[in-house]
Amino acid sequence: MSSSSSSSLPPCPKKMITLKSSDGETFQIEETAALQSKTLENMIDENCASTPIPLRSINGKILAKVVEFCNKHAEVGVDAESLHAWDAEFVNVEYTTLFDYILAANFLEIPTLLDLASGVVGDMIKGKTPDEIRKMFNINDAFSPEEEEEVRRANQWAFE
Amino acid sequence: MSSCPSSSSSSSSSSPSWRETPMTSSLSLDLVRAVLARLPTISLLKFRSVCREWRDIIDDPHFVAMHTMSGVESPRILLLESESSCRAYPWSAVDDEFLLASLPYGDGASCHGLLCFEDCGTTYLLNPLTREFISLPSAEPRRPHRIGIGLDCLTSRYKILRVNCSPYEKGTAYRPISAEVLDPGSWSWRDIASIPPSHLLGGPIFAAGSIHWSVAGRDRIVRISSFDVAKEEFVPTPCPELLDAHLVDLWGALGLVDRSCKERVDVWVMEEGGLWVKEYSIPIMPPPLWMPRCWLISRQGREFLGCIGRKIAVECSRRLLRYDPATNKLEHAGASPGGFGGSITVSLLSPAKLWNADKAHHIRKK
Repeated sequence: MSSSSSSSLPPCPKKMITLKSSDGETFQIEETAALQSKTLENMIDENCASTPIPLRSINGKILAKVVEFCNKHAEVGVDAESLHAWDAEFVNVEYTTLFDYILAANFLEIPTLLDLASGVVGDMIKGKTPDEIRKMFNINDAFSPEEEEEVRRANQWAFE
Repeated sequence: MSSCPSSSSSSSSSSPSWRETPMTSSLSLDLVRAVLARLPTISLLKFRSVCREWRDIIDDPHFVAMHTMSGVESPRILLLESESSCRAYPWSAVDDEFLLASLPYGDGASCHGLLCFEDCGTTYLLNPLTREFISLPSAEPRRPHRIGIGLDCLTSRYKILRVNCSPYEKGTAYRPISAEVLDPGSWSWRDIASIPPSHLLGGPIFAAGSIHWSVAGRDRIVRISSFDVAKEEFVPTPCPELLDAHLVDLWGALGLVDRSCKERVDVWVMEEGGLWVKEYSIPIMPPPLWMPRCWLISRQGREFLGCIGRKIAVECSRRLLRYDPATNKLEHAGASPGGFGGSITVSLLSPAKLWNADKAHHIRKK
C-alpha cells in the first residue's frame, strides 16, 4: 500500500496538512494521521494537500471530532483494550451526531470510523419499532395500505 | 464508494441552516444499507415495513447474500417435531434460541438458513424463518438416497446434491450408485461422475465449501466423505480416530463430537488446512445415569444439540445444559425441549428467488 512511501522518509519533521470545514474553521492534522482517510491519502499522493483542503460537507464541530478520531487511531503504543474503551466513549453521542460521523467517514473514506459508527447505529436501532425508525430517519413516505398489509402478512411474527 | 453524501444530503438545499442543524439526518441509501448489513435477521424482517426503500434493500438478493455470508447471525438450535408428515400442514416458529418446525425427522440438510428435505417422495427447499418454500422436481422415483445442500464458493451459487443408493435388499448394505446435482434456477437434475465410496450416514454438515457426511465402515470409527461443491467430487476428509463420534456444525466450521467418555463431551474442530483440534471439553456433572452406546442413537441429537448464540447446548438425561466456551462454565437450563436437534442459522434467503420459481408457498406459523 502507499503508506510505505511515507515510512521511507524517516528523519523528516512531522508533515502537517490543513483541512477546512464547511463553516470555515481550519484544522491541522499530521499527514500520518490523515492517511487513514482514503480521500485525503489520494490528495496527498497527488500533491493536492499543500493548501487547505476544503471539506464542504463537513462542519467544524464534526470535523474536529473526526480529526480527534484520526489522531487517536494514529497514536503508537495504544493497546487494543484502551483504544476500544476510547472508541466506546467517542460514539457515546446522540444518533444525529452518529449520522454525521457516518456521512463524514463515508465522504473521507475512513473505514474504521464508518464501521464503528454504523455498528453503533445498528445496535441502537435493532430493537426499535418501524414507527420509531421512521422518526429517527426522517422517513415520511409510508406504504400504501395494500403494500403495508402485504408486508405485515409476510413477516407477521417479527411484530410480536 | 462513488456516491458523495454531500450531493444528496440537506447541506446544499438551504445555505444558512448548517450552523444550527448540522447536516444530519438523511443517510443515503448506500449508508442505510451499510447499517442494515449489521443487523440480525429478525430485525431486518421487522424493518421491511419501515418504507419502500428499506424493504427493497432488505429484499434485494445481493444484500441478502452478503448479509448471510457476513456472519452477523448467531446460530440457533433447530428442533424438528415430526407430526404425521404427509397429512399435517407444516409450521415453524422461532425465538432467540430455537427454531421449531414440524417437519419430517431425519435426513434433511441445511445451509445458511435453508432447509432441504424430502417428504413423501417430494423434495422441498424451505426457509423456516420466512416460512417460504418451493417443491423441487422429483428425481428418480422413490428410492433410498441422501440429500445435501451447499454453496459453491467460486460462483456463490447454492447447489442441491442427491446421492441415490441401491434398492433395499435383505442382507445387503446400502450402496451409493449415482449422484446428481440440481443447480439454482434449474429444474432438472444433472448426473455427476463422482460418487461416495460407501453409504452416507445421516444428515450432512456444510462447512468450508464442502458437504460432509459420516460414512459407513466395518468398525465404529468415524470416517468422513466430503463433497466439494465447486469441484463436484467426493473426497475423504481425514479426521481423528474416534468411536461413534458424530458431525456437527460449529459456527460454520466442521466439528466432531466424541461421547465415548461418560463424564464429558469432547468437541473437535477442523481448522483451516484440515487440521483437527480438540477445542472444547465439556464436563457433564453429574454424569448421566445411562448412556447410549450406539452411534445411531447419539445422532438423534440426544446428547449434543449444537450452538446457541456463543454457547454450546448439550442435552443430557432430558436436561438442557448450556456451556459457555468463554468462561468454561456449564449452566443448567431446565428440561430439554425434545425433538431432533442441530445448529442452524436463520437468513432471509428466498428459495423461490434462488430457484426462479414462479410460485412460492408458505407454511404456517405456529
